[in-house]
Amino acid sequence: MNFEKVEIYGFKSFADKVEIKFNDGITGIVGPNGCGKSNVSDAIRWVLGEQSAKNLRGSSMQDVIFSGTQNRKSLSYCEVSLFFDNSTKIFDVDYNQVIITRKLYRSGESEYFINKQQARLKDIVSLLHQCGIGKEGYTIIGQGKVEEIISAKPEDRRAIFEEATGIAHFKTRKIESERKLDRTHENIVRYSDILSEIENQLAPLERQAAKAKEFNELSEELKRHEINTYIAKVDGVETAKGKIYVKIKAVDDEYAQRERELNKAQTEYDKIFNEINEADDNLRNLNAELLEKRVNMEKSSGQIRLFKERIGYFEGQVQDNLAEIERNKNTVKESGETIAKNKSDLQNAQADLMSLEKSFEVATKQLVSVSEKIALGEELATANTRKVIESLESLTDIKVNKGTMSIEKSNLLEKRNELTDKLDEYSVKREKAFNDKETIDQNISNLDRNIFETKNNIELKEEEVQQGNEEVSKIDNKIFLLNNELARLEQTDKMLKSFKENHEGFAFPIKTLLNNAKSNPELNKRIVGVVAELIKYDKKYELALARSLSAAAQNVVTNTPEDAKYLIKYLKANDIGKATFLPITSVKMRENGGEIRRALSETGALGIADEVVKYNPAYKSVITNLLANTLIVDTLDNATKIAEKYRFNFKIVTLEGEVFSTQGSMTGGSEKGARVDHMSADRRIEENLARLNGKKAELEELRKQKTALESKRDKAFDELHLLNDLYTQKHQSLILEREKLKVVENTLSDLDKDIENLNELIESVNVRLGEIDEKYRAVEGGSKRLEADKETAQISASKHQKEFDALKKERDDLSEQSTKIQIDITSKKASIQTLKEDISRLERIVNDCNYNIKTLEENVENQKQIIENLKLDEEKVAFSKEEQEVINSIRDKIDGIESNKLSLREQLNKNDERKNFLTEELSRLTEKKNDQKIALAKIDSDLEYLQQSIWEDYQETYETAVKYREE
Amino acid sequence: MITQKEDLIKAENDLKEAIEKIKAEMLTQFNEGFVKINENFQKIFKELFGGGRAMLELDYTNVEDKLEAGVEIIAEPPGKKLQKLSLLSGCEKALTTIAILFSILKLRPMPFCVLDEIEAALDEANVDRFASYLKNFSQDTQFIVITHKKPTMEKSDALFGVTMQEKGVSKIVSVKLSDIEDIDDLKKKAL
Repeated sequence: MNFEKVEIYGFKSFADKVEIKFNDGITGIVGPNGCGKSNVSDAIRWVLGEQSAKNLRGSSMQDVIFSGTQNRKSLSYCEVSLFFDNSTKIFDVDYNQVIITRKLYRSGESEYFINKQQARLKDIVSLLHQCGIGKEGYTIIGQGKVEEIISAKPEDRRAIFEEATGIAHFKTRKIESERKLDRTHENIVRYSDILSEIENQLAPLERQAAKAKEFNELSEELKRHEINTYIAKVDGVETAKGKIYVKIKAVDDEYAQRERELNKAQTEYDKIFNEINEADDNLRNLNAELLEKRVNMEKSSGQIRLFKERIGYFEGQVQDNLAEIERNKNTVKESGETIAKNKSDLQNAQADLMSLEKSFEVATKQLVSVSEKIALGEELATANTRKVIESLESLTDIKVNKGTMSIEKSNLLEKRNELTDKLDEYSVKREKAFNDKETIDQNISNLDRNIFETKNNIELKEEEVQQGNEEVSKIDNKIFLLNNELARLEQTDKMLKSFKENHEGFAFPIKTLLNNAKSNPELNKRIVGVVAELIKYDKKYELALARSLSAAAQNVVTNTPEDAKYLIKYLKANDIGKATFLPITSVKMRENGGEIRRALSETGALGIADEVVKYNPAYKSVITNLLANTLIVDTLDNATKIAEKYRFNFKIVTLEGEVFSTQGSMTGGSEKGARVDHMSADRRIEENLARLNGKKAELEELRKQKTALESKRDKAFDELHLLNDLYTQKHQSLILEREKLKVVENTLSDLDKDIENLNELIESVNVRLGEIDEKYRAVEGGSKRLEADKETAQISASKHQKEFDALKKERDDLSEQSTKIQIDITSKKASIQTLKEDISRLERIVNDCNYNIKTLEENVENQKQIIENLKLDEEKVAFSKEEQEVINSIRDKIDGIESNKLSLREQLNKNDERKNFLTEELSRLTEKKNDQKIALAKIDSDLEYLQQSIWEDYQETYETAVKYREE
Repeated sequence: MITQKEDLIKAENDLKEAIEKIKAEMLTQFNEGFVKINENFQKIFKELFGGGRAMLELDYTNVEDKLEAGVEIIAEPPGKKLQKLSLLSGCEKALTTIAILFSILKLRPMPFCVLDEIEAALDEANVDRFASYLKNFSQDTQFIVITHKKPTMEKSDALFGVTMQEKGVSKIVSVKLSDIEDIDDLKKKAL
């Protein structure tokens, strides 16, 4: 096991740490779409060093870190580790386990580890490369890879194979080298540019140097002048400052004197101001005293006036009260008389009332007895009437009831008949439906059987078609192979023909001569042919003949020695080379010797060479000359025996090409690539053609077979189609029948239900009929009893009516009498009441008058006392003369103080003016002093500015600048 | 400065020479590998398709550098004419590609290989053949196959299910093939 497991934490959707252990062989990863299966492969790819976020299906590399869901927080880093077993040392490290880890933080920082040791990406990639793993290669074949290979252009597809053959890294090296080449070239150009640029810049630099020097001299001079000006100014400053100090001193003196004067004026002012204040206080006290006195005076005179008015008022009151007393005394006297008269009237009225009440009592008693009798009669009459009415009502009800019952009864009977009819009808229907169902069931079972058979047939046919397909594909394969073979044979044919055409295999001079002869008729005319091309023979003699003829096979046959001469000259003239010519006319014919003829009967002897070849008899001299003395023998052993026996009298060749010459020499052994092409060109062409034709015939035969098989298969296929159609048809009718069955079954169950319902209905109708009959009988009895009751009640009612009428008349008379008496009583009671009220009213008036008289007399007494008191008070309040004098003296004092205050005020004003003048003088002096101080500060600041600018411009102070002084 | 310039010119020449060498080496290695892949491909194609023929061809037309010759795939699925890859059906395309991938794998066996739903476009029968072939290969190479197809699962030695019980969070569960009646069952389980 190489790849042991992968551990994933925080990578894409793997929020928790997960571990997948891999076995040997195939490990499947399954799951529904979108659950993160491909994230496993992404994780592996990532560790192998994937740098492109797009390949990991993200927009940036940080997207591979788990980014959180509604319920989970996102993580800050992700980590994936691959565990490899290295016990077979597939990796070039000393550990038995190799762990490769990649870690990425949200900051974008990426770390790699090998066995927990930090490493570089490069280390990991090279480690993996050693054993053929890599992110670009075929370690991970994703969903896109298939698409990529299919849709790529042929040129792009090449890249895949480059990767596969392992030259991809060469390619990067090549590109790098090319880039380096470009860079080198650029560098060369830049160097040339820089060299020419530097030469151009020398002249302007010299001009600038001269100017700089001049500037330095001039600025030195400027410095000298400016420093001297500065020194002169510093020296002048002290005298100017002295003058200003003197001026400030004078001003200060004057200021002190003025200040003293001002202080004096101020003290005087304060003194006068105090005096004025004192006078004001006195004045205020006196005025207050005067005001108090005058207020008291006013108050006293007001009180006196008030007392006088009150006295007048009380005297008027006393007069009025006396008149009122008189009036009341008169009223008392009149009222007493009226009271006496009223009392006698009252006694009379009370006697009348007594007699009236007695007669009313009698009348009422009579009325009550009559009324009771009437009430009794009335009650009896009412009871009778009620009885009659009740009986009548009951009778009506009973009649109505009887009517309804008989109607219901007839309805129910009718209904029962109807229901029974229906029940019969339904039973018939049910019978029919049941029969239908039977038939359909039968149909379905028939169809099922049918379908089963058809299915079997289809399977058989399918097998047949499958078999046909396989046979056709077998034939196809054969045809493909044959076509290849044919093409190859045709190629060979073409090659062989051109081989012959160009006389390949002959020595250069012969080949050239023959080829030239094709275009040169003069040459062609003179050449008969080459020996090898003039003879025909059986294939088995080929090697023997070739060896026997050896170089002579390439000899050129001509008709005459002249022709040969011409050709030799031609060869020489064109510097083509050397050739042997055999003129027919000059070459001697050779007969077979007697020895060789005898030798033909020896074992292994096959024939004499000139007799086994076929040729045009015109060339007989040439052929016999070359071959008549050569015996062809099958094996080396036989050849050896014959040669020894006939003592090398003739040349012997074996079929393997060993040659026994007449000189006794033996040539033979193994030969590498025996070149006898020039001998066999024609024969090989023929052989090839024969094979080609054979193959063509075979191909034709195969094609025929294929057509036959195809038609057979197509026929089976058509039959299969028919069977399938039949199957579908049967299936459909089965479904139809099933549908029908369902309908019939539903009808049946519906009918059953209906019949049951009908039976129930009939039963309920019967029950109801019984009930009605019973009720009818009960009602009949009740009706008779009521009729009798009604009769008796009517008779008793008419008897009571007469007595009742007489009593009613008596009661009416009595009631009239009683009412009259009652009215009289009421009027008497009213007059008695009036009289009583009059008497009590008058008595009250008398009492009131008496009380009034007494009160009024007391009032007159009091008022007289008050008037006396008021007169005494008035005298007490009157004002005295001494007090008037006091007021006058206070007024005089106030006048004196006022005049004194006026003179003091004038003095104060004068003093104030003086003070103001002095204050103005003081402020004028202060201003003058400030002016001088400003002048002083200006001198100082000027100097400081100068010092600063000298320091800035030349870095000199006064002390260091003194050395530049010039007089 | 002038000497530096001369050095540079010399370096340029050296580089040119090196590039030529690299090119020559690339050509040899590529051609050797390509021939082997082609042989493998022809064999594997037949096995995967259950017949038919196919081959890879280098296309030298319109190309100056031999190293830029395109690769054309010619395939003849059983019962069809010899045709270019672009004319095949989706399933045939996928299966042809898989054959190429296997050919490459055969040339350079890798310690392990992750296949991410590459057989998704195949029908049941083809998946079956694919899975059996994968099984043969698994002796040399460890395969990790992400798949939806039942035959592939059946041929697997171990199965892991990835589930998403909590939204957005994947979990791994080990699955035993004997527990699974069909894919629907598996899906139910995963959900």
